[in-house]
Amino acid sequence: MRGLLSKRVGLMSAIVAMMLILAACGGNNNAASPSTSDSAKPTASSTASASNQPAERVKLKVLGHASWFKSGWDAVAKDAAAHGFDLEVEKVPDTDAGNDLIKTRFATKDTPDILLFFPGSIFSNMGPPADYFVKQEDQPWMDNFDKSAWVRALDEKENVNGDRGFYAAPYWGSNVSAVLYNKKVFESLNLQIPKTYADFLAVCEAIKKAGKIPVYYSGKDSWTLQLLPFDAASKKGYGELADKINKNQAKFTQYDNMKKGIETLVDLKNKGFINKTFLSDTYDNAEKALATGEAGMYHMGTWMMSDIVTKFQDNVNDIGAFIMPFDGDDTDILPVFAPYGMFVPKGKNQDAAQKFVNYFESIETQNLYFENEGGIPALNGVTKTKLTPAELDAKTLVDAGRKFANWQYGFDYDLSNFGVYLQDALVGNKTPDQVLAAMDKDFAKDAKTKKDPNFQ
Amino acid sequence: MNKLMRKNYTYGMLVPGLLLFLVLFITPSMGAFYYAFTDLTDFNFFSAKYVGWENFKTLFDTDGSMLALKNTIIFTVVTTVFKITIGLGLAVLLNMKLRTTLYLRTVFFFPVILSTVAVALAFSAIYHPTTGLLNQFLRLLGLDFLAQNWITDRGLVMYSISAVEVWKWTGIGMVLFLAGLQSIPQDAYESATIDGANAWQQFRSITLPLLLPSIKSVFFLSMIGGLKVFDIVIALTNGGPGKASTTLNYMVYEDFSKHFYGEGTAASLLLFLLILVTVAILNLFISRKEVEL
Repeated sequence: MRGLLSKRVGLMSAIVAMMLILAACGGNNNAASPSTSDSAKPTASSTASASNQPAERVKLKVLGHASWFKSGWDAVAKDAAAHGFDLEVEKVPDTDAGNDLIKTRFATKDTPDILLFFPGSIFSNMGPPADYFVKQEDQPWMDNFDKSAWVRALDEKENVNGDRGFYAAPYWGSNVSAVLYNKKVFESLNLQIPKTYADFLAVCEAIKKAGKIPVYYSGKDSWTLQLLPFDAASKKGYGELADKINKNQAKFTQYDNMKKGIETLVDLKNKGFINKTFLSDTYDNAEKALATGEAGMYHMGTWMMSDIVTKFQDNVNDIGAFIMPFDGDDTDILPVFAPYGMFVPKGKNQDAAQKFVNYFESIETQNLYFENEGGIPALNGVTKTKLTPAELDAKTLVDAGRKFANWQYGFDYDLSNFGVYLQDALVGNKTPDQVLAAMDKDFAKDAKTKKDPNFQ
Repeated sequence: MNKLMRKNYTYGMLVPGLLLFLVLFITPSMGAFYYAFTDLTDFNFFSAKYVGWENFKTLFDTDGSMLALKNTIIFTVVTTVFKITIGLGLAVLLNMKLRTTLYLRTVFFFPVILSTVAVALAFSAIYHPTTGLLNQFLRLLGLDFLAQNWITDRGLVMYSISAVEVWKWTGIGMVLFLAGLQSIPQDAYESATIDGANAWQQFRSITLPLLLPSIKSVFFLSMIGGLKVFDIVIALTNGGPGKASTTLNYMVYEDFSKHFYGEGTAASLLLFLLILVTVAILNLFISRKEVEL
């Protein structure tokens, strides 16, 4: 009995000791909490212009999503410290909870000095932009920024207060949706980049004859199916149609280029130009297939190249990018996914924060940033980048004006089922028209739920 | 402490627990009967406006709602039938005195303790049309014609999901049946043997009637679990391909994730009523059979 008792006491003691140890270990672990912070350490290096340097050292609190602070930011943070900016970074999770945390901070007036957030969404998340943020239209960094190229992408949309305009400075690189292709496959079959849809089909036929997969669909990750229709739908001038759809003055069923994109998606499947197990295959499978030359082409954003750099280092130079030739003319363009936004909240530190933004957006600092980080710069004149050949192909086309920024964010209401409907179209459960009708239904339902008077 | 207090103080001890139950379960559950008829879209409960049957109309008008109902019924029927028959078969088998009885009981119960997500990931790989173990095994046996797109074929997907559910949860039924079997007095079998009854007659006339309370428990557990199916669907197919494997509870999840709280509440209320009515009718039917047997 006594032995049993001492065993029990021993066991209880061990449990209590373990709990205490775990509690002690967890007590100082900020990474597990909703927000974390760290400070940039000053270094001797300096590259930015002196005009953006504050007269005395200032401490700025920066708030943003955890995964937005990468190697580019680290390099800039060190350089900024040498310019008198001591940055205290507060990170929130990359989830809806993180967004809610940021919104709550603004609702309770507990604002940071710099906010990294999604441009174009300030009104719906916080309220009228002019109430919260400093407008960027007259800032010096705007000299290197082509505003017309980023309307509906980096600006705040018109709202009830009518204060639309650029409140965000670009943060991070942009990406484009393109046809990523394996150059070795093309070279081995003596294929040229297709200029028309007929050329594209001929290329597919040649790759198929060589026993490879012409176009890879990663349909298990349904979002990846959206890229091809997005490419077709993102025509210049279609922003106006998006506006009309937002106001219930037009429908997706009237969106001919969107329909063409869905038809093309199904057409390639019907012609046997895609992988047979496309509904079981994932984005990861697609990366491998394209990098190793098992597949010839894949409709995807250039963000995939950062994965290729990590996972298939030897194949990075084998991958290029071109515009999907739907109409075979200049109306075929690359949809551009805009960078995130760097905002200056109104408050006691707004002047110092604006100086930091001007420093960050200077060409020197942008060169430093993109030397250390992937993505295509949104500012003109940035010369130092670490772009892969595929991203450089895309950048060349973007620089030539063959682009349309953030078409997909031009819509105000729910389109989250689009990928699922595309799966339906590929298995023959919906026609392209039925996909568009289903999108109209979802869109109207969400608008009605959000009490949009145009949809009541 | 006077006599009245001594008699009633135990009820006082229940108050904290009851309060928690009232606040965290009863109140929200009762609230559903009201909020299903409102336009609730955020957690500002006081601003919700009464909209009559609008949420229910929208629900039935939603793309794939009838398919979700059909899928839920298929899943419930298939899994209930197989969980009972296989569970009962295993229980009868493992009630015998075999050298491996204890080992086999552990083996068959093991899937119950596995995480649904882990099981779904494993079966996602097993079901892969080209690299999956199942099709590779079939091809190895020369049964290529049986190799299928198990979870990407619209006509097969619900049955493939059901098979995973049966594999995972049959162990629970087996344990309940085993407990029932071990409570049946051996005298009944000895008397039947003396009377010349064969094994099948003994099973039909002794085992089955005396096991009916266990069968009833497994039946209702499986049926309610089937009607509420969600986790295995989202983990294995995410309702796909397209909306081919959407179920009622999956629709509730989609509604809530899109902030359609009124409609989501209406959907969960309908699901609750469906379960309540089905269980009540079947309970009445089985109880009558129980008396007859």
